[in-house]
Amino acid sequence: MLAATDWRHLGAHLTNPVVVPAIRLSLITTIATVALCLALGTPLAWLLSRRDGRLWSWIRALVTVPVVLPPVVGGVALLLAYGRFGLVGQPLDAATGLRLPFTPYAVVLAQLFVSLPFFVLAVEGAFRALDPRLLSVAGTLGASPTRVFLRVALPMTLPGVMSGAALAWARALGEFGATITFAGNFSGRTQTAPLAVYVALQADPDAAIALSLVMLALSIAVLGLLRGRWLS
Amino acid sequence: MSLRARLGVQRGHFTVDVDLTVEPGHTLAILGPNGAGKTTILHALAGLAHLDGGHITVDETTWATPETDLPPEKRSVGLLAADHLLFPHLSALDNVAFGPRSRGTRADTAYDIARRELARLGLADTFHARRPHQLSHGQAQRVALARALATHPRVLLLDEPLSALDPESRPTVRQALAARLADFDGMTVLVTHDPLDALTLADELAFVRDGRVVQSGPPQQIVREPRDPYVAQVAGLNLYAAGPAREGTLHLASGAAIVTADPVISRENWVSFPPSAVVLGRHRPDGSARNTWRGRVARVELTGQIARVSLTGEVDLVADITLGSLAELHLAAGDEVWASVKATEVRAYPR
Repeated sequence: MLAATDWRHLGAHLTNPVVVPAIRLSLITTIATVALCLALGTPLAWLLSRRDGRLWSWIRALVTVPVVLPPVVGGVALLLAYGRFGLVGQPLDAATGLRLPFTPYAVVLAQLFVSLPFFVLAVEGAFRALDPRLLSVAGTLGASPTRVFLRVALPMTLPGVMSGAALAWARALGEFGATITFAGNFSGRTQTAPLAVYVALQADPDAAIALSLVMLALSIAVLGLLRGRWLS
Repeated sequence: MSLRARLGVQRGHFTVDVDLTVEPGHTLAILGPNGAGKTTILHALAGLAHLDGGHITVDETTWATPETDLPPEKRSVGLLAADHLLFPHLSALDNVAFGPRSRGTRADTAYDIARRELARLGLADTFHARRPHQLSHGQAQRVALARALATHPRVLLLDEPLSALDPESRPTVRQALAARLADFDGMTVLVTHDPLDALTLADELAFVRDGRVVQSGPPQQIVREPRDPYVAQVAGLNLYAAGPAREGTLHLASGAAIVTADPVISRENWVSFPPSAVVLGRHRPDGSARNTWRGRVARVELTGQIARVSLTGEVDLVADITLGSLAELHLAAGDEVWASVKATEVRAYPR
């Protein structure tokens, strides 16, 4: 890919009217996705790591489904659920007038759908690796379960949570199938970097390569940042 | 105002069923071999194991029955395990302040308490900012004790608190623990397999085997009159079950006869004598000793000036002899010897 790059016109390709909005949209939506993963996935992973039994293994199985599901199928499922006549979409439309499909929100939802399971499984593993005796001791010292989670479990698993977030972010950045199905491919609105690469490859291969290069650089930069800080 | 508990806990095929009472300011030591159920007892008291039977009552408040279970954070307990289990991401001071903070104490008060507890255990200000990995084992264990006491618990649970320490730091921590327990007004339950910990720290001992208490009481009484082979081993006495006495002579289960000077009235008795009372010889002794048995040397161990000789034969026993006697007798495993014990050295008491 580096060999095929048209380095002399790289600047021109990068300022292509399609490239900049796609990169910007990808950055904003993936950051939103990771934030949602952290906010929703961390407590979920904690509960999964602390609870055993039928109900929780079913919940775990449900969370894991998107890992094995082809993303396009995920997109179809989201469309059916959040569409105008969908199970969630219809009441949402009636109550707030909000229609999610083919909006930037849909992009985030599609990315969340595919990346949350990776995040939850990684972070649950980190929580399970904690010494359970430390959590018991926190309890005997008077810490409520919430305080044990916030003050003991979370700080101790921060590296694991961060690598889970990196994994989820990488998965969200590359997300294609569910996004194009559920959010569409409107430049500047729902066209993320991977979609732009795919479209550009047919019209302007050099721009596609330039865009891919940016994504590669971005991914390596994030990985490097995390490695220095959290993953050693 | 005390700790009263009957603990019934089922763990697979293993059942724990013990009665405990500890008065305020007192320490109960629970001794027993590995797998006797000692840790299960502590976990039940801490609220980490569910009761299948019995109750836990502290200062007239019921902590647990099979139906009701106060969660650990609602019980006034402090727990100290063999490993310090300090939170690795917090400084020593933050670790100690964690408990009071968790129980809703204001930050400045909590840190005052933490500083005071650390000072009481001889940990100077220079240790406050250190993380657990920057402390020695002995220091970390003292920080952990300060943390367990910072919430002013009614019940302090010590689970083999000195067993993971190296021999150099163990006496220091034992001394700090003994001094701190002396002015602790709550109830302490100490689980240990080290008789030295039990004898130096406890007011009351309870020996546990296979989930039951086999003997309990004040240390001086237990050390004098063991009623269980394990207790006798810990107390360092030779102990035998015997039948009724006739003119001072009792018969052991093995059929061997043993003579005591103690008055015996019971039909079932225990007989014991200390290893230091045994005299060994190559030939049948013709002295005043009333008890003479033939045996074979099974093992010889040295500790300082004393040689501990284990014999098997008519009566299995251990004998402590001086290095001088050992050298004179040239004892080695397999040798045949005569053991003699004076009747006045043999104690007999009802079973």
